[in-house]
Amino acid sequence: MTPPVRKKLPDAVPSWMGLLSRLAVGAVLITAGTMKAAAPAAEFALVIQYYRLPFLSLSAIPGLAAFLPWVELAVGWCLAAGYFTRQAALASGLLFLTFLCALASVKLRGIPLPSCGCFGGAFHPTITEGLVLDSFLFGLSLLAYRVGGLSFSLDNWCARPSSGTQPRG
Amino acid sequence: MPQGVRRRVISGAVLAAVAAVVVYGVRGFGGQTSEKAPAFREKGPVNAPVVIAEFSDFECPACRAAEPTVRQILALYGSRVRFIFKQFPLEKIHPWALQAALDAECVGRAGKFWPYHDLLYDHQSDWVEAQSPAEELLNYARRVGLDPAKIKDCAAEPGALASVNADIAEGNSRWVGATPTFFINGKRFVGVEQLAGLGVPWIDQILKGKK
Repeated sequence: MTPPVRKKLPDAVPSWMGLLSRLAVGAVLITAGTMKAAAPAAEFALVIQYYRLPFLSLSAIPGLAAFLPWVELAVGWCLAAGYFTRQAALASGLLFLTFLCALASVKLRGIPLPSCGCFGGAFHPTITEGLVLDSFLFGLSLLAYRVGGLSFSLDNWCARPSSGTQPRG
Repeated sequence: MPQGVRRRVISGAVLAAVAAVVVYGVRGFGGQTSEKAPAFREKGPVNAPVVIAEFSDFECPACRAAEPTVRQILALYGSRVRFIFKQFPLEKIHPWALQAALDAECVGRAGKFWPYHDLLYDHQSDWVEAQSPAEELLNYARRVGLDPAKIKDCAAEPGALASVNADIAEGNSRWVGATPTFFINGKRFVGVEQLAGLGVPWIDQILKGKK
């Protein structure tokens, strides 16, 4: 009699959940990144200024404001398309962790921000809403990291041998 | 090149192209960029090497907070700067901003824009928190020596609104999302911190002939 095989977590989570996770996180990052990258960087720089992060000088903020939306876009499109899925999911997890730290610091210091500025001028979630949203998206990023690359992904297409090619080994 | 690597390169290129097309599609191809306004909202020599355009809202506290810095810059650089005021009332959050803008247009046509502009910012909380801000705005017109009844009639005419709306449309086409937004020789600075911390060095660079 064959002993029962203990399933690892990735196998226990249905692959469609991983797919949905990476699509959801990807869609949010694409939306947020597009709205901020399309708008002038000085607008997003103003939002970053409002956070009053002690380690960020005023002269460094415009560069960060110009760069960060494109990072969100790159990670978002990679997740949505399943391209370097695990790396993109890891990067999105780190992004959301960073955003959570910034939001929590604003909340703890009592800085009165009307909006988290997460989506540029498109939507205006409050700091609390931003905390909830980013926590949820952080969780989805972890899920995408575990099982996000299994179906409907460019990773699968890139790894698949083309028709007429004999697999090696 | 192995097929897997080739597919990776092609996929990456396609994704980057799609992302760029979407961003530039949303951004559009730029709006109107001429720094024009009615003559009464401009001050300084026409051929000044530095042109500062400010999109502002009379009811906006951040615009009031920026006023001392703007005045310092104008005093410091004198005839080397031309300053242009653009109306950008944020009606959704400032219920009296449009009325203030309309009254200011009419006061400007009567030749008293800048004293009225200074009064509205210097006494912003007084008229914003007054029982009747509309009446208070007209009182300031009286203080600069104008007939409030004439200003009231003028502000109700479509011409004043058209002038303010033209500035709002220009601001929207230039992605002005917050007030005050300054354009110094076309370069954008949002808020007083960017104006003071980044805008002033930018003016110095322009004057040194680096830009």
